[in-house]
Amino acid sequence: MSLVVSSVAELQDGILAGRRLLPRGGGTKTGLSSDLPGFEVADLRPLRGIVEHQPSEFTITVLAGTLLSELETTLAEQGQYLPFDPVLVDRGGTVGGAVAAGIAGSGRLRYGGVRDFVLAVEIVDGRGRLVRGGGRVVKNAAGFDLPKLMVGSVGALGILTEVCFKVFPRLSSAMTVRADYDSLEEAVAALQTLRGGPHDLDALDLDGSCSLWARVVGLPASLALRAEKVRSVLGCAEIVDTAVSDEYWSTVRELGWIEGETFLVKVPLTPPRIPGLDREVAGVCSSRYYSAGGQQAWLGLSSMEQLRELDRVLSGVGLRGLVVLGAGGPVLLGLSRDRELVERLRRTLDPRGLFRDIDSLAAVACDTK
Amino acid sequence: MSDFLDELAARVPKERLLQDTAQLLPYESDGLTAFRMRPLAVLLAESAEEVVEVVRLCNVHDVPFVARGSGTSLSGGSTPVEGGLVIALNRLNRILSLDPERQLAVVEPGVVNLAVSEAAEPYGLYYAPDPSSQSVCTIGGNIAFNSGGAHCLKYGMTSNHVLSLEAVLADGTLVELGDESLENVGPDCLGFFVGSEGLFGIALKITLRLLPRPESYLTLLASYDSLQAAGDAVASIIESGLLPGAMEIMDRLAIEAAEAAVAAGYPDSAALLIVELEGEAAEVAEEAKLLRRLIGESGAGVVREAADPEERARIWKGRKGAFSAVGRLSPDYIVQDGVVPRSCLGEALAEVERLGRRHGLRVANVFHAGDGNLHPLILYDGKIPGALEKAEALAGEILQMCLRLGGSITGEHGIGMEKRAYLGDMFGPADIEVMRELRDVIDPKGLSNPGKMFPDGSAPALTAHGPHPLEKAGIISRE
Repeated sequence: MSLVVSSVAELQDGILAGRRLLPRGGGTKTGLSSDLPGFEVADLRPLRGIVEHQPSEFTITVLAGTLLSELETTLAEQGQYLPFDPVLVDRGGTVGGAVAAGIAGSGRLRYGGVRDFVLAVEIVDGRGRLVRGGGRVVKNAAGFDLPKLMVGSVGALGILTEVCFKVFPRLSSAMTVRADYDSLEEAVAALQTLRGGPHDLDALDLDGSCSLWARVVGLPASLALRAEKVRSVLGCAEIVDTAVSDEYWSTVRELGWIEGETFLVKVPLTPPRIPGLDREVAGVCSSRYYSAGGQQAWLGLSSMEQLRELDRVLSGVGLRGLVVLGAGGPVLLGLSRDRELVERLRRTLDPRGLFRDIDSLAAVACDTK
Repeated sequence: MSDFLDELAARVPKERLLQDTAQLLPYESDGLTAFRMRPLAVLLAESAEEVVEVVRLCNVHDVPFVARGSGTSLSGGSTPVEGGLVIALNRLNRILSLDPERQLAVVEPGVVNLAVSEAAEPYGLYYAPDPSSQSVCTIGGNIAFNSGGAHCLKYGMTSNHVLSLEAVLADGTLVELGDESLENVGPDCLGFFVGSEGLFGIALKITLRLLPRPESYLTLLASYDSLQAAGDAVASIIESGLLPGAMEIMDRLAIEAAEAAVAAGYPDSAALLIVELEGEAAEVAEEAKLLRRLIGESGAGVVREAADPEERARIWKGRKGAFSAVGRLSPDYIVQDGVVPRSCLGEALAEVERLGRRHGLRVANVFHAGDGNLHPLILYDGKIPGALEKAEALAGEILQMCLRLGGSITGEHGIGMEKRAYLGDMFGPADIEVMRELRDVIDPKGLSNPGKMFPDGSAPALTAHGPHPLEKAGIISRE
């Protein structure tokens, strides 16, 4: 059974009736929205549409079930974009899913991630209340920052019904520089050199074959010069043909390179930790990709057994992971430092325990060991 | 109560536990001098462990406490609580580590904002958030109030630059939020803590993100014969797709005062626009062409670009010192902090002017035009009976206008003491109820900075005391 949500009131009624709900938009992030025993799916796709778009304000408010692709098209018509660079856009990801998962793409390098661009949210909490946080202006310091708390909350603290984003102007010209290295250490060193320099890069990713991909975006007149600077800093690098780079970035964005694996895990980290983590997980994760200037790892695995092993490794090195793709596993892996606080907030926002319980999810990870 | 003080005195040396009236006097108010309250005592904390121990002791004895850095809050965020302890954090002022490779700094809460950028400078890095009081205000206070500054337009406020923190929650629980990465998984508790106005607890160890210094800046001044024209220029720059690092506007009163104070070299005009581009040299050079064209079409009078870093510094010194400079024109003033949609800037400024005339009060304007953050400065003389109340009434009407235009009652100063009455104008009953519940679950006894943010907290009476002494000396400024 599922609850098809075409209005906020329907969602509130469902919660007031004590139904245990698992929010789902496009269902693209199978690790977060696949059927869960004891839960009904709250299908938010009908709750879609642009609530308010003021191009001159560079803000846009949309209902949670709105397709990211629809949102991007609306923004692009005004020369605007979401700087956090959402993933799984063409595959049918929704706004609510992007925010609740808290997942940003390679382009988050330049200006920030999901948390940095959510200005306001409306949620229905576990008591069926429609709660608003933040404000629909680009700068606001009134009240507790509920919008940030909802980023990455994976349906455990409330169900998002509406989100207001800050957006930026998009300059369409882009050039990509690629450099191939013999080892991950060399590639990370090159990545660090670029990060420490004045290069205002739009994306900087390190793929599984030790190739560094740097994307430069800006005004057409200075673009070639800027890309050439990046190329010369990297040494044996080349400017990638536009058709090749377009396809590359599109594949990265849709997480298309993961096709073969069952699970995909996001692990936040910093560049100096990449070589060490890569060595630790090499036997477990058959594909590994480091994006956004080395601030997040994407690790692909094939079995539940490998997932358990990854959980152990991450706990050992003090990192955390989010299982984005792959049903049937836990949601969070590794070390959880803020569990007690999250638990308190959950008790407050969801006193009847109608939403998924982050602690029990962490417990799933332990139980399956 | 005396049990509490006895126990406290047994734990800390006498010279760090202030109890005499003369010693407590400087702690009675912060940057919002209209509110005053004498605390029970002030503890000059020297270590994070000590703060944790004292917070726990406060819990045992049900004594409220207020953490305080340099006391520059403009919303009365660090006003003491009656019968409560002030935990002064200025001595926790060590930069614990600075890691150029990871581009981060680990600091204690009493570290002064500007000290972070100064320490990072040799590595070509800096800490981006730059409140106007950055030479005095502390990182702990910046975190509590999610402080902004002139350069938030492109890279965001304090919250966007904090990677992790260790804090003692109001009930004495220790938490660690976030980590070294810019990315996160699970609910963003770190982001939730930042800007909680001290109601959740006290940050004790903070990891800040550092950015590489931009290769190039272009700082441009343009004069206009009306605020409306300057506001329209901002709108056209934003609509062009340019993303400057900062866009600021000052009105005549502010320009004249800043000129008199620091000789910034501002042209004599009704309104002045400062636009700063930053980034790679090649990109800034191209963006500058577009900016010059837009400014040329905007009806600007004098247009000037900073020729060297010294001139750029002078321009910013005038801007950042503008409020304290305006303070020379009047014995007292209230700084308002509201946000309007950027397309309403012209309308908002005209309305502020009209409201000021109606109340018979002079209003100077210095504001972050790029993000619609107004800072009307209401001049009054507190010695005249009723003048403060009149100024407060005008300030309230300006906030109502911000809400009417679809904005916010605070862009960067926070609610604090000052705007509690307006929280209910911005949020509905359910929104505030949930905020209260979230506060209660973290601070069940309501001991950490009580009376701030929520409408019904008890408050000391409003009194006119003139500007903060540091402000009078031009060391800090309200912005």
